[in-house]
Amino acid sequence: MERDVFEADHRAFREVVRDFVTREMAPHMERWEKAGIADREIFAAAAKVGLVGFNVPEEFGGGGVDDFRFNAIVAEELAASDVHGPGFTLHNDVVAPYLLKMANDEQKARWLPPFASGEEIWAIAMTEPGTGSDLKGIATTAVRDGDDWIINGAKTFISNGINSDRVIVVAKTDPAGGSKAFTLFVVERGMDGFTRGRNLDKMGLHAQDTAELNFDNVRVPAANLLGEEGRGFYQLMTNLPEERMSIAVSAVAASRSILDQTIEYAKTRTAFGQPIGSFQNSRFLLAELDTEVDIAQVFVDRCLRALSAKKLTHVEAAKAKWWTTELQQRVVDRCVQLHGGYGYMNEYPVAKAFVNARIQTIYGGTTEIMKEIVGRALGV
Amino acid sequence: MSGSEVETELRGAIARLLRDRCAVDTVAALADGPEQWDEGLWGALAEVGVPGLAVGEEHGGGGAGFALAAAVQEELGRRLAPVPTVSLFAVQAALMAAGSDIAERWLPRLASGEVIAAVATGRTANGWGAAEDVHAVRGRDGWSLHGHVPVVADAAAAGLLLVASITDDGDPSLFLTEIDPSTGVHALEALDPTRSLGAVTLDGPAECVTGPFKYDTVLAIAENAALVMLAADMVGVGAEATDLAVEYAKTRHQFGRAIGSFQAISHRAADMFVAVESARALVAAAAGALDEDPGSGETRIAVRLAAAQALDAAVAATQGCVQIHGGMGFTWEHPAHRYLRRAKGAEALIALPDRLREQAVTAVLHSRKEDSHA
Repeated sequence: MERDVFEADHRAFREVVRDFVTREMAPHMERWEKAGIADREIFAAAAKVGLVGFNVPEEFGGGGVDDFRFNAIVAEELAASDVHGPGFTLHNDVVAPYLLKMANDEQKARWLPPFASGEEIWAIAMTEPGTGSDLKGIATTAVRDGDDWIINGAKTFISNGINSDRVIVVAKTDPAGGSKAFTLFVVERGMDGFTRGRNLDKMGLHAQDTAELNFDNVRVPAANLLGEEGRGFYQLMTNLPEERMSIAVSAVAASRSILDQTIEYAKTRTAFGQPIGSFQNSRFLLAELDTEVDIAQVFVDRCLRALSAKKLTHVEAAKAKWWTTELQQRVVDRCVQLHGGYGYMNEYPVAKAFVNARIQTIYGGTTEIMKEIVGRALGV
Repeated sequence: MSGSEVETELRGAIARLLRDRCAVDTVAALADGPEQWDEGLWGALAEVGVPGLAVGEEHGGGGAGFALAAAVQEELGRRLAPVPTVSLFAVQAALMAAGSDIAERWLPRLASGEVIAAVATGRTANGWGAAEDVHAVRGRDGWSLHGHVPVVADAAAAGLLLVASITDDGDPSLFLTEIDPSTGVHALEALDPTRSLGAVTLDGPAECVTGPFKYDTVLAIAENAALVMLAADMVGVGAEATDLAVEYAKTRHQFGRAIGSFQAISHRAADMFVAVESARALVAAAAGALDEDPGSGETRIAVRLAAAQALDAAVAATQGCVQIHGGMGFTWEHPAHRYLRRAKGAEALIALPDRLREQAVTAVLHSRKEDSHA
């Protein structure tokens, strides 16, 4: 089904992104997966052609483009090629909005230029060993000491955790708790007491560095407080539509890509004297999945249009996130089955697509939390 | 004869009787007509001892237990028999568990089929409870019941009701009261006309079967028995719906071959078959548990899991039967809709499968907790 959400500029951008992903990233995937981390230089290379930092204002060295459809194109092209190592979408879709919306002028001047050029890599640290969906359980603390803050605690599952030069850390600044107890700080590579734990071994996304971070009396100057003291919880909320749409967009793109590959496989692979796709079971299954992925694409495109017009609600984004990522689970699962024994072999893209998809219903807010959000909005 | 030979023989005998007395046309005529149930068929079943199958020999029954009664119920379900066995077996289970003089006085009449009994309770999320709008009053001449029970299965056939009620003294108790279906029962138009539903008005003398001491246990056993019998009925409904679909898929040709040779049809029929077979195994286990220890926590769990699976399987199989028959399955003349109605009707009558599983898991967690305290 023809998509009507993009215009000429977007289509030209997609060509650039696809070219970069194919030539500069895909050939390195195997090495990155073995190493458990991508080359950090790829951020700067990507920034040069505009894959990273395009939404930073031009005065800070970015592309000055505030249109989420460009973000979506990067997410889609990475997902379609199952290239995942460097957290470009984390940079573009999650970190950039925080800095653009919450950093003061001094901070912007300090942080945005190296961010936009890809010289500095960022991460955001919310999750802790004991705190996932329920953010109010965060135990990392920040205590004021003169002009500084002293941070103590541990974070885990942090994407870009090893490569990152600066990390947005959510910490509790009011021991009394409640939704006004949290503040965001930017912790920098080299600060005393800031150390990285393990680069975590995961089911999939092997080229993505996902790490534990430890904070032992890390002294952070007040100049690195991001946004307002006590407003961290609300600041985290404001950017949710972007984060969730980023995942939804990639879910549909990954589903479409692996489904198309599987349809091709079903046409060429024969069993019992005929292509397996011509058996009714396979044909119907492919018909169902193709229909559902088209439906998902239409819904996501509609959300995308709303988001680029700043009209998408967090409830709509939650719907898109859970439904598309659950669809992706079914798509990759059935595509493995249609590949038979080969689907189980890592040399086939479908095997990797299967494991790489699994986190999608979990990070960025689990399916269950998304349904809570939708359900609560219904008043039930 | 071994147990399974007895069962095979009994199933065969009932199936033959039903082929003669309960053919598709007979059921259709009754379902589309004014009769609420098949009294003639009931007489024939009573002659071969069906009403007393589960009742002990000391009370004039066959002493065959609920396991065999469930096998018979499956055959009855297969033919959509419009007879009140599910309700009757439930009341018998309650009376055997109560063991009171009153219970023992009624059991032989229920075992012979002379009197048919049905159950009038309230319904809660956790299953059966006391009927809400019924007053039990103790007078000089004994107990009397006054009030209204909105839905009672098989009331149209019943001469006796087992009523769960809170007395005016605040004690939960079980009563038996005689009713006259021609005056005290208002027939309800139900989705499934092969299992009559009625609203019952009570205003007359009653006997107390059990007071608060054994109330919970006896009511739970009655509910267990009803669930097992209804589940067995659903196995029969699902099995026959599957057979009808498979038979049709073999003979109906499209695109130059039998439609059953298309995977879309053969896989669906296979799924239906597997669902029904699993349900049959679970129902057999639950009926066995009911014979061994009708009131135990284990039985409660087995019964609910069996009923949930059987209801799901019956709905899936009867839906599949309609779908595989295509346009034919949507006609009034074809029996497919009668099977679907019986399945959906059972679901509405007893409980949604999810609710049953919820009850089962609550019982599992409860027993774990007791284990850890031991």
